[in-house]
Amino acid sequence: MDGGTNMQRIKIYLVFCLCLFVLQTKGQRTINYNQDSVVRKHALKINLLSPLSLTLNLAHEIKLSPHQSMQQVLAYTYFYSDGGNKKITDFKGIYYTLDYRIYRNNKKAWQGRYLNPYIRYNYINHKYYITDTTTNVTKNYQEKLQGLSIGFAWGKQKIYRNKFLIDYSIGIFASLPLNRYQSEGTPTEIPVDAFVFYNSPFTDGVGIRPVLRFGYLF
Amino acid sequence: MKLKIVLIFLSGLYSFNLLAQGRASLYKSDYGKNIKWNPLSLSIGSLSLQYERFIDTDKSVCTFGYIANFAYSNEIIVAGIGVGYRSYFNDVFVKSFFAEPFVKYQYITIPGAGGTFNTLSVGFTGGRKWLFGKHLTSEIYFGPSYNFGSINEGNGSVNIPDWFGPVNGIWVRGGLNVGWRY
Repeated sequence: MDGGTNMQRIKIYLVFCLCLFVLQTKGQRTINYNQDSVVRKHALKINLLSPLSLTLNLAHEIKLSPHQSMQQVLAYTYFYSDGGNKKITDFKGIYYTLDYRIYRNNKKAWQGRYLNPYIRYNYINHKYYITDTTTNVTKNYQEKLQGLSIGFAWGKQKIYRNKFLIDYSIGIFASLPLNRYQSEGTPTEIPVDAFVFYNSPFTDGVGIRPVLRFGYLF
Repeated sequence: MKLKIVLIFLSGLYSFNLLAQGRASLYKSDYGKNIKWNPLSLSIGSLSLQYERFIDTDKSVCTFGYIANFAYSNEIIVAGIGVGYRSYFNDVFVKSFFAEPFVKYQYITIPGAGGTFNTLSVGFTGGRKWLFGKHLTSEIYFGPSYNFGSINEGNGSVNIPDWFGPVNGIWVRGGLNVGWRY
């Protein structure tokens, strides 16, 4: 065998080794998730507790810095019941929340315990009926309420594999009514049953805000 | 000489890669299938089963179904089937949180009244799964769903306007499963 043929064989072997090495490295990357160094700046979350109040609740968090973020939350409640004889109950609620978060963990970005002041706009459209027990006449009412809530929450967020997260918190809030419209009667003639609703924590009063969210980072 | 050094270096790299990948494969589960049963469903006269098939170390497809009849003596028959795509938060599941978007179809018939309800659900559950030993598993999950329900009373199918628990409107899906993986 001459030197040229040997050289060619060695070159082929080298190319083969390189190909194997590239393939192996690529294969290993698909398994080793923990070395994902992509910087995620957004998270989409779903509140698992919200259906307990017949509400769907979606949140979007945006990273401002390693230890600060803003979050917007959109929630929607819907309930409808037609009992016949004009006995209709219809409840729609739309809530938009802006959260500002300060994470207190200096070692890991965007996770650990956080402080969360927030502000929320609440819109409620409520149709209901009241039956007069003496005349047995059913009367329908509709009221539209708008309120502004200011609150504070304490919570903790944990990130898994730079891909998923769990976020839980408990908060308190106080609400002020912005506007109220009622289709029947005047504000001084609010039926007793409705007056209870008028003092809803979303439009006038105080309440608590428990949250358990699972999320996806992107 | 230079060629020999390059060859030795490349062989070393290749061996290192093989070793690393071999270690990673040790954590790969040899049990890609998991059959599960919800014991709590018996309390409402229902049999609820789930079959999970892993498509990766951290991802799986869950097919589930249930039938409820036993507690009602044929007064009402409920059956449902669905499928979910599950992602585990830890790359290799031993005990891990998971997220699972799902779709579900549910059929309810009331033989005495002659009406049937059909419901299509879209939802999302989050939960946690534990492994005991090599085969025994347990999990809890919970989350919101939105149900689109219709009723058929012989005059064609009509959408239901009312909120009606698991048939129409916002509702929940949750459970506690014990299972066997193989």
